[in-house]
Parts: sequence; structure tokens; C-alpha cells
Amino acid sequence: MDKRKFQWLFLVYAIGCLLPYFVPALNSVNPMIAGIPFTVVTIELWMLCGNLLLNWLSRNVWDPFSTDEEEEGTK
Amino acid sequence: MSTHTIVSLLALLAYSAAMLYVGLGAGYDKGIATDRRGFFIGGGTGYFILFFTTAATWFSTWIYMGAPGSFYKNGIGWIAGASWQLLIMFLMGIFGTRFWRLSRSHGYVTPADLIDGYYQSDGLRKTVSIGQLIFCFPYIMAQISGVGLAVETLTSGVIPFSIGCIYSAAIVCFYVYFGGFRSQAWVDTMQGIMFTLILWVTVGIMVHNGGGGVAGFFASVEAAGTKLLNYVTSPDGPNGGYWTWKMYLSFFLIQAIGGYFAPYVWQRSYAAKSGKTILKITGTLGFFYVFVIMTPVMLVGFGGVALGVATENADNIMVATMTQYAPYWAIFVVVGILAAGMSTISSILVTASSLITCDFYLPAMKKRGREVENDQVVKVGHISTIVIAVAALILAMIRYQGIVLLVNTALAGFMQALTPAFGSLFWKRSTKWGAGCGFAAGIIVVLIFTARGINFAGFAPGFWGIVCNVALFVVVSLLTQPVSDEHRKAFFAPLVANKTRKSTTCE
Repeated sequence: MDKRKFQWLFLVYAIGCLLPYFVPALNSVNPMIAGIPFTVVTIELWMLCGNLLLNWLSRNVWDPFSTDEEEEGTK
Repeated sequence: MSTHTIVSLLALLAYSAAMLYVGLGAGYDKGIATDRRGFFIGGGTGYFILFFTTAATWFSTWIYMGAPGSFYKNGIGWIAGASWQLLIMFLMGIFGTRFWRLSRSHGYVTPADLIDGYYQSDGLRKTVSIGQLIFCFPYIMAQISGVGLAVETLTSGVIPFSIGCIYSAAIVCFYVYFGGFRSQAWVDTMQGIMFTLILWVTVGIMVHNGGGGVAGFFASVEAAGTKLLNYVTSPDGPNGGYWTWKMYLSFFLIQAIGGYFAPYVWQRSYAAKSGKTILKITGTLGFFYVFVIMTPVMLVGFGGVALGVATENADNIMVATMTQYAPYWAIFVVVGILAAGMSTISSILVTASSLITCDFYLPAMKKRGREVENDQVVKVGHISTIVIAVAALILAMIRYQGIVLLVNTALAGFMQALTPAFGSLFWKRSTKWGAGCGFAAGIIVVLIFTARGINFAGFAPGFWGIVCNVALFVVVSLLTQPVSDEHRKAFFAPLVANKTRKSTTCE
């Protein structure tokens, strides 16, 4: 399978960021989780997912266009 | 003079000494500072320094002023400022390594170098470069103004705003003049670590004073009854009705795309030690942006509400809260503002200096058939550094309100470089005319809409700028002649030769 297709998942992340404006359940302060409002918990978790996706893409999909030798000899 | 003022002056002195020590001592490398490429983009920057210089360049005074102010005043909507940081990293993953490889192989120093390299158009090079220079100025002016205000606040007016502005421009100019990119990247690293630590200690003080830990903290915000913890679903909704989904979308597309295509961030891709360094940053910097910077920024803004601090200027909420609850720590908060602002000033100074030298001076000399020695290029870099610093300083002496708005205008302008960059790497049919018309139209729309305060259909000016830009870019490109296949092959040769994974470019 072509791993490049997973880049489109970022679009899912972007759309997900807008959901609280359209899904009332995501725009609610309750239930509080460990004293933190639901609106804050959900967006923080969603951003964690986005970060994990980026981390995976950078290790598996995006091309560095550089060789190991280029890691050395510069300052 | 009160003890508080004396301590403030000592803190300012210590901070200035530390900057000069790092900039002209630990971070200075004569070989790099006197090399034409090294002066502008360093000698191949490793992960740690590149990580912090990218973060410190991107995060300016707005993380201590505009952003907490917006959380305090308009509520959770500014969380988009965190969520869309990831788009910057995504763009870095797509464009960054390609930019790095092409820069390393073809010798590009400025963004317009690469644009000209692909489209073979000196006119387009100058159009892009002028567009970027125009928007560098509001950004650098906003930072100088912010630092000037911070110094005045820090010293209780002993050092007035104007002298604060001169201080910030002069000290930055000093180490950039001698050390170029490398010095400023090292100082950025110091400043980045500083403003992050100060931010977290401030959050700790706020939560502690709120009582009841994090739960008590948020309960106090909710009890304030301002609905700041809810997203705004209609313009006449709670907390000012400001952060509707349209503002969220347009504002933060601007922040993210403008953030990556800002020439001083773009150049950080050129400055990396290797493509692998860029990908390491892409995979990790987002965590730092979101959880180490933006989350405490949100807590600081809400902290002002939780502690019931009242201030006329929301941008001042962080300093106002600390002045009330921990007056001596407020000194460090202001030093944090200086660090955040000055790290951005130094980066823009190096970048603007490279734009003038590489996009205007060198092509002019080439046209006249003159060969320019390495020393001469560095000398022009030095002179342009001073000229830009002085010009920005003079303009910054005019006091500005609403730093975020000003900065956002600049990012909306930087955003317009998306189409020429995208076309050069991913769309064979793109042409210099399409890229040039789109870029220029985008900037004109941004300037007119911003000047007249037009948020057509609820979207910000930058959004309409990029819409016009893309439309013209596509239509005009389809009507005009693209670059030859032969040229395209030569341009992409370094990418083809160093391909290690399946990747998409228009080679």
C-alpha cells in the first residue's frame, strides 16, 4: 500500500478541529474530566492525535532527500 | 527609585549581557559569519538549535500579549492558534525537505531564489521579494513596539517607550551584524528556553493562587458566567461572538500557511543540517507548540478570568495578573516578553537583509557583468542589516494598538507565496505569469480588505487574498507557457538523485 495516502488523514484532523462549532455535544463544558472542561479535553486529545500523525508521517512517508553522510561535517 | 525598579533594571541588564554573551561568544563562528551563505543561513544547523530558533522565531510577543488577551476576552476560540500550528508542521513536511535539498544543491539563500530558479524570471523574483519585504516591516515594527512597551512597563517608566524601542533594535542589530544567522539562532535558543520556562512558572503561580488546583481554576472560569469555555456558534453568541467557525477557519489558515511561508521560517528549511533534521523537527515541534507553549498560554488567559483580574487592555492580562499576585515575578514575565519579541526581530533582520542582498544587489551586479567577492556580499549584508533596523525603528516609534491584528496582516501577506512555491514543486503547468499575477493579486486584496476592514461573508482578508491568488494562478497559468522540460529536469535533478522514498514532485 502506498503510505503517501495517509497524508490525507491530516484533512480529517483539520475538519475535526471545526466540529465543536457544529456538534453541540463537543461544545459542552460538561462532563468535566479531572476538573478540566470537556471542550478543552477534546481539543487537546484531538491535537495529540494530529501530532502523532505528523510524527508517523515524518518517520514513514516524507522523504528527507538526504543521506547519512550529510548528517556529518557541518556545524 | 523603588526597589522593584532597581531589580527590574538589574534583570534587564543581566538579560542583555546574556544575549551578547551567547550571540557574540558561544554562538559566534568567524568562518560562518564571514561566508556569504553562512551569514544569511548559517553553516548547517543541527536539530536542537534549529528546533528552538524555529520556535522562537515563530512565537513572538503575541504568546505573552495577544493570545492570552484573546483567551481572556473572547474565550476558547483562540485554541485554533494551537490546533493549526500542526498545519505549519505539515507544510514543513511537504515542502521543507525539498526546499532544503534544492537550496543545498543550487545554492538558494532566499525564497525568491528558489522561485526564480524554477520560473527563470527575475521579475517574479523581485515581485515575491518586494511582497515579502513589505510584510516583514509590520512584523518587525510590531515586535519593536512590543519590546519598547515592555521595557517601559518593566522599569516603571524610567526607560521610556522610545528608548525601549532603540534598546531592542540596537542590541539585536549588534549581534546580528557581527554573527549573522548563527549568532541569532543561538540567542533564539536561549530566548526560547527562557520564555517557555517563564510561561510555565506563571501558570503555576496562577493555578496556585486560584486555589483548588486545576479543577478549581476552571470552575472559577466557568463561574465567571462569560461562557469563555464554549465555542461561539453564532456572531451574536456569548463572549463577544468573535471566534465563529469562519473566523476560526480563515484566521488560522492564515496563521499556518502565512506562518510557514514567512520568509524567515521558510529559510529555516534552507538552514538545516540535513533533510533528516527537518523531518525530526516536523515530527516533534508540533508537540512543543501545542502542549508546551499554547496550552499554558490558554491557561494564562483563563487565569486572568479565574483570578478576577480586571484590565482595560486585554493584551496586558499576563503582566497585570502577575503585578497583582507576584510583583517580583512580573519582572521576569516582562523579560519573557522581551525574549519572545527580540528573537523574532533578529530573525526578520537577517532575513530582510538577505532579501535585499540576494534578490536585489546580486542580480543588479550580475546584470552589469560584475563579479562580487564573498567579502563584498557580507558587507552588503551588514549594511542592509543596519538600514532595515533603523527604518523599522523609526516606523515603530509610532505606537500601535492590537499587535495581533498587525501581525495577522503580515501573515496574510506571507501566505500568498503558497502558489508560486506549490507551482514550482508540484504543478507542471504553472507559469511565471500565473504565479506572479496570483501573488500580486493576493497581496493587493489583503492590503485593500485590511485597510477598509472588510471581512466579506465573515471570512478574514487573508482568506479572500488566497482565494483570488489561487484562481488567478490557475487561470493565467493555463493560458501561458510553462518552463521547458529540459529546465525542469535540471531543476529537479537534486531531488531525483537523492530520493530515498516514494515522493511526489513534478519532475
